Amino acid sequence: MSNIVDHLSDKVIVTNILNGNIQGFAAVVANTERLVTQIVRKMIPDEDDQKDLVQDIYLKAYKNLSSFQFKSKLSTWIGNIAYNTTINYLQKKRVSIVGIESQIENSIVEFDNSEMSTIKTEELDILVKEIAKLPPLYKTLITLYHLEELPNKEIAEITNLPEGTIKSYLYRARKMLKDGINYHYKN
Amino acid sequence: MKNNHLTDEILQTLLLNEVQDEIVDKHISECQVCQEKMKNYQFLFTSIKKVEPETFSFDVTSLVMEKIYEVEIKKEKNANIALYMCLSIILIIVFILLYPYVKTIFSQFKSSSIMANAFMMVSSLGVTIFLLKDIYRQYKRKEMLILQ
Ligand SMILES: [Zn+2]
Repeated sequence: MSNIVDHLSDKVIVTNILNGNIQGFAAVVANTERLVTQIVRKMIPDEDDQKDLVQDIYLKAYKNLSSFQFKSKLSTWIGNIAYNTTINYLQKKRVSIVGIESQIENSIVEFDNSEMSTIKTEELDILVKEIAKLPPLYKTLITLYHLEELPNKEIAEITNLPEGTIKSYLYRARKMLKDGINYHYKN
Repeated sequence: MKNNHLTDEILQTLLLNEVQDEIVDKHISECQVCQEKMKNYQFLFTSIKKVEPETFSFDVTSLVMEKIYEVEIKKEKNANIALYMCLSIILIIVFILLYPYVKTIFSQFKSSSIMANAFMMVSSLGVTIFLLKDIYRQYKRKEMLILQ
């Protein structure tokens, strides 16, 4: 049911913009901003680059709005543009998206076992640091799956990756996170 | 012995409720190593939900809309230039085609100077372009109203 509502409202919004209501696009940006942020910010650390990319992504979406077929949700379609634009950008900069660890410094915080039951914010800090250490694509997949709670099918539409590949990347990413967290506590 | 432990993949799928298997359940209930691993994953799965989604340090909507209006204004400017060019070309063609008639009209004003003639021509041309553009604008406005 909510899918039909989504579809209908997407259609109303897009038709409205195509008929010349430019300001209508601001609503599209507001609705998809969170998803685009998760995709871009997870893979691109530099703020100026982020700004350029975000403008680029939405400009592409705006210019190609008439070619949107309503086969997926509008947000998924924009997510796909965001993903492709970001990946292209990384490839131009020759950053490997699954191979190497990201440039964020591997600051290893020392913890001993007695701190196993410390306050939650500290636990979260470690996890956030471990997520930051993941390769760009893993970071994005983990975020889309666990934070945005998107189903595999939608992640597949955004990333153009087969669902099986996404699953295996997610397994590997979670294992890396688990091992990373264990490392913190065991050292 | 080590090879008999459950793989990380199986442990993860168990936690995601993607798989249920008696043999697997039995192994976990008996094996401390796998229990420990399972606990680690459980910890990861619950804490990852608490991670705050990251935000940008800038306002996305205003940044994007600024860019889009910039592009739209440029587009309109280009369209205007194209429109003026088209109109001028049409006028020139009309003028050339009608030149023999124009000549006779001009002969009526023999008494007035060349400057006066030129002034008359330029001003009538200007007025014509202005009127045509106004008609086009009104047409566009009506088209928008119909579409909305
Ligand atoms: Zn075991």
